[in-house]
Amino acid sequence: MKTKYLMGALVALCLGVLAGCVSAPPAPPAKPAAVELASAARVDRAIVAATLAKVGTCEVDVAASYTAVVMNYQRATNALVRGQITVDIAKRVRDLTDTARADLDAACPDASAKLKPERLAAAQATLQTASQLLEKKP
Amino acid sequence: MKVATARAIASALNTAADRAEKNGDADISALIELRALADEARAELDAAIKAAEGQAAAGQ
Repeated sequence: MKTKYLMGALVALCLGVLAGCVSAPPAPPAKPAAVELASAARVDRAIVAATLAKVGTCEVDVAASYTAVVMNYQRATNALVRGQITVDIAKRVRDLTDTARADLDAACPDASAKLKPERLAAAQATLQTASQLLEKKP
Repeated sequence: MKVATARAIASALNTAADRAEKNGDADISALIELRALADEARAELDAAIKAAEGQAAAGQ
């Protein structure tokens, strides 16, 4: 659980930094340098992830939800291994998360594409349903 | 930020840089990294599901 909160805090921190950049941008350089990052590393069972997608692209719009996709898979794995959810619930979470991922890929196929907000909204709704399943631990 | 967290992020950056270099990319793509992470996490969930099903079948 701590990992989840750490993850959320870290993503929130990264997004907060990005939001700060958006609200008070520095003077634009002649040739802006690419600032993009998304990755994760593992320390024992704890998982740390950070996302710093390029501001002004659809990457940054889907980054948080895409991170939630990864977290849903990982949370379902951990909960199943610990016996906190059934195989059926794990499969439902997996299938819902697959659907959300497909919507996210459609919302932002690549960094140069224009965001499709309706697909992002669909993905977020599906992710919420999957997360609710994970919260219903016996 | 905890030292362990900083080291984990630094390690992740290295991994992302290695992947980009291997692909011949000059920049690290956030989307490519996220998709790779999702693939890995989904494979782990599939393996856990198969293991749980195998255990259930063995117990019957």
